[in-house]
Amino acid sequence: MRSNKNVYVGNATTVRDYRVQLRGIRSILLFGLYLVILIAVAMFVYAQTASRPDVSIVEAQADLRGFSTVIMILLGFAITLVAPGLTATAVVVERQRQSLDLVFSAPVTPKYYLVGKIMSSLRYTWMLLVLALPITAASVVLGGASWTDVLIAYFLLSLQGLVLTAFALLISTIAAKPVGAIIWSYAATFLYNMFVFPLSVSYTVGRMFGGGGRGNAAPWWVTLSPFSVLDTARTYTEIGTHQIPNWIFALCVTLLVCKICLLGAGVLLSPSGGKEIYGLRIHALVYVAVMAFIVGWVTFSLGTYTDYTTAPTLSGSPITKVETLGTSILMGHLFAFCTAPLVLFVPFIACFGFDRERRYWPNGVFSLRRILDGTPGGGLPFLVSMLGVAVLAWFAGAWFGNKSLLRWPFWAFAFYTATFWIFFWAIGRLVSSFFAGLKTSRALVFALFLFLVALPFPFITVIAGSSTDRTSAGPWDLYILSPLLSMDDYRSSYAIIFGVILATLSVIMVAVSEQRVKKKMAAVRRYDEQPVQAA
Amino acid sequence: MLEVKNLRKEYGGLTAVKGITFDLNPGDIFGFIGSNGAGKTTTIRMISTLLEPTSGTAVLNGADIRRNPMDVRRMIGYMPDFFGLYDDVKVWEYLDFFAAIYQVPQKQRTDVIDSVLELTNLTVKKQAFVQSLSRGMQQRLCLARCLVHDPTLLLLDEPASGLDPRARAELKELIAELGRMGKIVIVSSHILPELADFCNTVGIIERGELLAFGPVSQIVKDIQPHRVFAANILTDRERAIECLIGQASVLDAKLGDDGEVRIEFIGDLDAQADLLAALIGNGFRVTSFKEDSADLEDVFLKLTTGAVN
Repeated sequence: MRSNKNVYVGNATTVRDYRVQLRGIRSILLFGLYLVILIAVAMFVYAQTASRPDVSIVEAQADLRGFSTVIMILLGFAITLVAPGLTATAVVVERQRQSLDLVFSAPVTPKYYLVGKIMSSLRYTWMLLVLALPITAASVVLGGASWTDVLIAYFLLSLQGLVLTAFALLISTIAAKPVGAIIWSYAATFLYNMFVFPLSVSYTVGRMFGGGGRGNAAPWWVTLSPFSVLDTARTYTEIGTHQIPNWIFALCVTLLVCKICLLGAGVLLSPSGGKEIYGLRIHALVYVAVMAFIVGWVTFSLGTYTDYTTAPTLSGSPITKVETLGTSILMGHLFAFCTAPLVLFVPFIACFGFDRERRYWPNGVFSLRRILDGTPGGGLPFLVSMLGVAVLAWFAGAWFGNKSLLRWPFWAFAFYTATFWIFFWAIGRLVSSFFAGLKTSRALVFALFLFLVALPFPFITVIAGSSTDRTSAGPWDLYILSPLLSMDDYRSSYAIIFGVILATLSVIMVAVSEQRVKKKMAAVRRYDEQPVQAA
Repeated sequence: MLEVKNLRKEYGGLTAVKGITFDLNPGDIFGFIGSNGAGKTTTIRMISTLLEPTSGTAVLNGADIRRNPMDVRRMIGYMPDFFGLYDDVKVWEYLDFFAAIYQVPQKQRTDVIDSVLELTNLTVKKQAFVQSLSRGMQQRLCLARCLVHDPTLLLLDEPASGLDPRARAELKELIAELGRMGKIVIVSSHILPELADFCNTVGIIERGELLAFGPVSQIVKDIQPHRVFAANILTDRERAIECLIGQASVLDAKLGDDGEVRIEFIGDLDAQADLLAALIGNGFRVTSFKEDSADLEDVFLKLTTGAVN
């Protein structure tokens, strides 16, 4: 309890960073510039609003709401630019300066250090928000927003700042150089916004055109974009007869994302990593279960997708069967797509390296005992466990959402998904057995993934066209994601065929890699036995 | 007390440290000698808990580096061979940061900072920025950082590298003072005469193996168990060697590469005087006759081959 208090109150890392951040004239100039831009934009937008003659009260109200929205969008931009930029160099610069060793030779846990770094970055972000308070207050005075709107919007902005800070901190821990850390942090920020912005905009645009007839009811994920915090501040999710404010969901998701990023960074910073890897893997299993359950539940309970399946291949069948089958295909596809983040984790789970410490050396193909310790032998059991947990949670979510059982096509796609990732795990093993360097192997697995998944797409499109509505065989059937290319029922058979092929290839690759590993280990042992000869 | 037990570290096909074992007591200043890449820094980093040993362990006052790393860290002060100083930080702020992470109570921090600054002779620089300090002062600041929590064990990796002779002498005196204060000090260095001056124990490491360990005098004695004299004889050296071998107090005599005759001697001071008198009495023209005492450098060169991992 006391050690936890020390982490969050009076954290030495935060205090030191704070002293440095606010030292000299640089910070005053930056804050001044930020305020000038903010005031200039606010005045410009207000001048545009006020200069319109003969506007009705309703129009004026809408204009003032627009004024508040612009201010909040501007704050969203500030957070998006500052939070990753400020955090991206936090750890990598210390590593380059070699001060990280000094810190970790003291009784400091990775958690203490990383939380300190996050707090110092967040404090700077909050300072930007506080500095903008007079301008947002003006929007309240002018009637564009209420104080409650502003406070929730600020809270949501803080959460977005926390997510982006956590991403940047993880990247900063992985990166070898500050420039790389900055570039990757902004790339991650861009990808994050590319993902959450359309989700949020679909809601706000829908409302703009008269949609959203159920008051402020909206899916919780609309609150995840930093550019629409004011529009989504008052939204809620209906669960039964209860209206749960979406900011609560946003808070939960943000804390979960932040925690998993911190655990990942902690694994990289810890000298032994055992405790941190154990925590990370347990958290990963729990999060996968929760997320799979929620997605399975939400997509099934919405009931909108059943209309999707007029199922041409099954015409003539009873309509209830068509709906169930179609939904199961869609759920199978969704499940496959939802496992996409594994592309980032499989290289870490699968690869081993002879250039590192013993815990990175190959220690078997499948060892249940090693499932949580982060050594290569536990990689496959952990991957299988993750996929198994996800399938079961998804199944439970679907049942909970609509009291429906997932039918055959879902299980075919689940099988295909599992073999797809095991195939990339096997590639990781094979690549590692050819190269000594762990980093090289990981990079190669990632590159091979792109080579097999992303690269064929434009080529096959050129050769065979982009249409996925096909009844005859063609080049698309050779594509690794072929089973997911259409909603036709016969794709489930493809999923099984592809699954079997991928599983067979995986077994062959693992067998080859094991042969090579045995030879390499023998060579390593021979070198190790050479005695030192004193003069 | 520090007990290092069969400490071993492997990286892929390389075994950086091959089962090192030694014990040190309070007040010991241990000079850790070895070529670049011999395994000194790896050993020091394992003891400081920054690297996990592949096998073996070290126990400091009952705290095991593998089982209780946090307890060990509270008792050690680690000074690597680089400064790792923060920019835009004042000297007192730098020390305050480390005092905070070593959990020195806030009320005591000012006094602690003042005392370590005084010990390292940096009081006048308390308000200066660390980047404005000279190299010698930065080195002393690093040492001050190691002392803020009053550690039992100090791990100093190449502390004198890059320092001018005066700064080096000051640092040497400071380390000797720390030894007198009852701390265990482990110093790795390439500058062997310096280590011999203030270390009461030394260890020689090559390719991860500890080739010798013990007091300097003992190691020298192990390498060169008898006294050796070098005599410069102008003429007829071969006959002089025959004459010397015939003496009761002489074990062996050889002509060295430098033209001097090296005599392995087992007698006392009287026998030494008799030996010189015998040489001169037999008509050999002796221009010099002196004891050739081995030092740490000789021991190091004799024990090691220069091979690195």
